Amino acid sequence: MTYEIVITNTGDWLWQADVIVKDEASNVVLEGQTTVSCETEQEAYDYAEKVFLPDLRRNYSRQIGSLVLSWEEVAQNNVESE
Amino acid sequence: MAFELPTLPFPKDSTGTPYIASPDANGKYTVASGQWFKNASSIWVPVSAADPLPVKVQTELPAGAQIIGSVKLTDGTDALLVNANGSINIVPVNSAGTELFTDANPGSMKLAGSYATIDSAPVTGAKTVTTTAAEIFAGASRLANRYFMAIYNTDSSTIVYIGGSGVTTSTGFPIKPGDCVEFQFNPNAATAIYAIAPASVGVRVVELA
Repeated sequence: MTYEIVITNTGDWLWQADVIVKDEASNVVLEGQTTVSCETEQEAYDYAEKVFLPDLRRNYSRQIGSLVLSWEEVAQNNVESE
Repeated sequence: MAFELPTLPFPKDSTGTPYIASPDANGKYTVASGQWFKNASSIWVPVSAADPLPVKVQTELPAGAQIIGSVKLTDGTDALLVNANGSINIVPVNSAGTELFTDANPGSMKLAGSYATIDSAPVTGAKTVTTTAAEIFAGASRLANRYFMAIYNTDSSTIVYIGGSGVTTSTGFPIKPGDCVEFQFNPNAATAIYAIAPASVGVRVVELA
């Protein structure tokens, strides 16, 4: 399962975050959209990935419960290497 | 086509309608029995769209807004009346002509801006409010045509602040731990509510549409 995050500036200190989660066959499983009020695009991206996506996974566990986020992959790899 | 007034009484056809006889021998005209004529200085002239029958108004209305008294617009059921003082009496009826908003026929009415019923399943969600101001809603995006949203602060110590896109912890409206705030929306006007907190806080959200 993979995810894409697209950040679009919609005004002063305002960013729209579109989140798309796809399965192994690249079929869209869930789409989410929110707006974030912050200074930089990176802040908006971080919010979408580290707050919005985990909330989506929690609320739509049947659809995207198996989604593994990027920092979780790193954590898993570190555990395996140890 | 005009001719001299014939001698009375006029002859009548089989339906009793008077008509002008046809004095063809003297160069006069034969006239259909359905034709109407008007008397123009003892000469009968046929009435037509180009030469209509004159109608005299008893008292002509001067230009400008005038009060002409009570006017009743009706097909026999007195459904609409314009009174002399400018007020209007309206008797609403249904398609069958039955008067509505009576004890026997109360009728039904939806007030603009009134949304008292749920048209779709409620959306609920557990969300996280952080130090970055972001829109708050229950599902994967703002529920379309929502008319209601409630936010419940599940944290035991941290206050959540809500407001517009520029909300801060210094200016937002506070939701204290354990408190719930409700919003009523115009379903036709998509309106975003933003939330921020001094630390990550869990909230529960429900939206109705």
